[in-house]
Amino acid sequence: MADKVTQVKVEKVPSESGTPITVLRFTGDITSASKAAVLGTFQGLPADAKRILLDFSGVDYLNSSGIALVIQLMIAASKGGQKVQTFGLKPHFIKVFTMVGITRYTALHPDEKTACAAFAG
Amino acid sequence: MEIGEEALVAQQQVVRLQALLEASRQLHSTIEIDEVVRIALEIVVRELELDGAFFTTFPQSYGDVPPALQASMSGDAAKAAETALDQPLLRFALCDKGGAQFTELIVLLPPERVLDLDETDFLESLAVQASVAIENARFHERALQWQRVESDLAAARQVQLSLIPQEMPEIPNYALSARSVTCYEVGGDYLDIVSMPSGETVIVVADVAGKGLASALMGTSFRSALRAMVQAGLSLLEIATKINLLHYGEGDEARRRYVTGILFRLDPITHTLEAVNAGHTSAFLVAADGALTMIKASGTPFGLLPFSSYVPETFSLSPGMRLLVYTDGMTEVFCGDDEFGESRLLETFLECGQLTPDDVLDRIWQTLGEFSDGQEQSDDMTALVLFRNASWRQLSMDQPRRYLEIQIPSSLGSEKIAMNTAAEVARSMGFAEDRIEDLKTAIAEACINAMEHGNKLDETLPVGVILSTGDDSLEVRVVDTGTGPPEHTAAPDIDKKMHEEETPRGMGMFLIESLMDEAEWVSSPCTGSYARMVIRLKPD
Repeated sequence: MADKVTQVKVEKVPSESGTPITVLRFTGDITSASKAAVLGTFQGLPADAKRILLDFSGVDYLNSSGIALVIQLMIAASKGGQKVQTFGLKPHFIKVFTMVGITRYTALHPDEKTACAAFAG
Repeated sequence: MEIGEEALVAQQQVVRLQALLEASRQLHSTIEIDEVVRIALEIVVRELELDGAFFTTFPQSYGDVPPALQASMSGDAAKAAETALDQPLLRFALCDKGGAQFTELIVLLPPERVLDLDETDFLESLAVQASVAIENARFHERALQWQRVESDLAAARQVQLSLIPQEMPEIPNYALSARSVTCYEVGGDYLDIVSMPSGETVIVVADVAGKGLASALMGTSFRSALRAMVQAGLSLLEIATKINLLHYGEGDEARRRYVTGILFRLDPITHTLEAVNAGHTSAFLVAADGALTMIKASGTPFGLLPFSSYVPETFSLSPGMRLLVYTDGMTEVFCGDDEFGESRLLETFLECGQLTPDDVLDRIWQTLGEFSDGQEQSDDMTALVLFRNASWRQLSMDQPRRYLEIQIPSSLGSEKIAMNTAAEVARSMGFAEDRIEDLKTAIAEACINAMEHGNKLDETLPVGVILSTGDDSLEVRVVDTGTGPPEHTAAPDIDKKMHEEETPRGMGMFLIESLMDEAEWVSSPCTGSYARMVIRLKPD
C-alpha cells in the first residue's frame, strides 16, 4: 500500500480586485515523497504570482513530513512577498494544522470562495 | 502304668491340647503387638500356675517378675543376672520365619517346681505360636507405617504437581506447552513459567541430580529461591550467578544434588529470547526455514562449584520459530542397550513441523514409547515447546484483551497498512470517526519514526505493530530494531520554523502525544525499541 502519488494542478482564477489568484490544487497524498510536487511546483510559479491559494480538498493523507513541506512553501512565499490562503482541508487536518500552529501564518478556509475573498482583506 | 493312670494322663493331654488350641486362638485374635505379648504371658503363667513370665525384648511382664531381673535379662548382662538369682527359670527362644531368634520367653518357676514333659511341650508350642503371632503383628505394624509413608508420598506428589504451572500463560503471538512426568511418586525435574508485569515471561527447565523424594525436596527449595529472584527483577545472569552460589552454600548434600538448568526470558514485544544454560542439555531453536541453533551450556550446573562464568545469549525470534527444551530423561530412554539420544529427539522435533505445541509433545512421547516398547522409564521426563506464530493471529474473543500483530517493511507508505488495520479495529470497538483519524495519524507518525530512525529505512527490517484491545481502550505498540527513539523534541515552534531557526520537520512525537491519551517511548538497546500509545473510548 504505497503512497498515492501527489498530483498538483496549477490554475489562475480572477479575483474581484483584479489581481489573479494562483491556485495549487493538490490530490493524492502529501508526504516526504511530495517534495517535487509541493516545492517544485511552487518554485516554478511566475514571479508575479503574489496570491497563492492552496487547495487540499483532494488530499486524503498528509503526514508530518508533508506538513513540513507546506511550511517550507510558506517560508518561500513569505520571502517572495506572496500571500498564502488555504482551503479544503478535512476536519482532522484542520485540527493537526492548528495544533502545530500553521494557522498563525495561513488562514484555513472552509471553501474556495471564502479563501479567495480573504486575499482582499 | 495302670489303665486308670493312662486314662488320666490321656485326659490331661487332651486338656493341655485344648488349652494350647485356645491359647493359639487367643494369640491370633489380635494383630496389635502389645496385645499379643500380654495374652501370651498371661496364658503361660495361668495355665501352668507359674510365678511370672516376660519376653526379653518387650517391656511387659505378667505375674511376679522382679524388675531387676527383667531389666538385666533384657540387656547384655543377662547371663550374669541369671546366675546371680536363686529363682529357677526356663528360657524359650522365639524365632522368625528365617530361623533367626528375635526374643526369648522367660518363665519363672515357683521354688521346688519342676515342669514335666507335657508342660515343657506346652510352653515350646506356645512359644512357636507366639512367634508367629508377634511376627504377624510386626508385619501389620510395618504395613501401617508403609501406608503412612505412601500417604505422605501421595501428598508430596500432589504438592509437587500443584507447583507445576497449571495452565499455560497467554503470550501474544506465541504458543506454549509443557509436560513433566516423574519416574517415582515425586521427581527432581523442575518446570516453571513466570509471567512478569512487564509482559515478559521467564521460563525455567531444570533437573536436580538424582531422583525421588530427596531430589524433589531440593527442587522445591531451588524453585523458591529462583522465583524470589525472578520477582525481584534480577537479570538472568544475576539469577544464575546468585543461585549457583546459594545452592553451593547449602552444603554437601545440596552439592551432591546439583541442578542443571536453562533459564529463558521471552519478550513478546521485541520477539527476543534471552537464555542462560547452566550445564543443562542443549535446547533446540529451529527457524521456519529449518535452520537450527543449539542453545548449549555456558557454565556448570548450579551448586556444583563455588564460582561460575555463565554467558547469557539473546536470540531474535522470527515468525514460525520453534523451541524445544527438555531434561535428560527425554534422551536417556532405552531400547535394550540402545539409547534414544539427542539426535533422535531433534529428528522427531523437526518432523513435527508446524503441529501445535501440544501435538508436538504428544508426538514426542509417542515416539519415545514406541522406541522403548513400553519399557518402564528410568528417569523423570520434562519437555517444553514454544512457538512463535507464523503470522499474526487474533486470540479468542472471550479473552479479556485481544491482540493483533502485523509486520510492515521499513518502506515509507507501508504505514498505511498499520493505519487502516488499526482503524478497522478501533471502528469495531465503537470509536468515533474523529478519534479514528487521530489514531491513524499517531500510528503513521510512530511507524515513520520506526522506519527512519529505528530501522534506518532498511527494507529488510520489519516494523511490528501490536494492537491490544481492552474493554474501553486500544493500546498500540510500534516496535523497531533500533536502539531507541529519536531525541524527544519539544513542541514545535512555528515561529522558529517560519524563521528557519528550527527544522520544518520534527513534529511526529508531538502529534502522537497530542492526539493520544497516553504515549511513551521505550528504549532497549539490546532487544529493540518501541513506541506505546493508548487511545480510550472515554478520554480522561
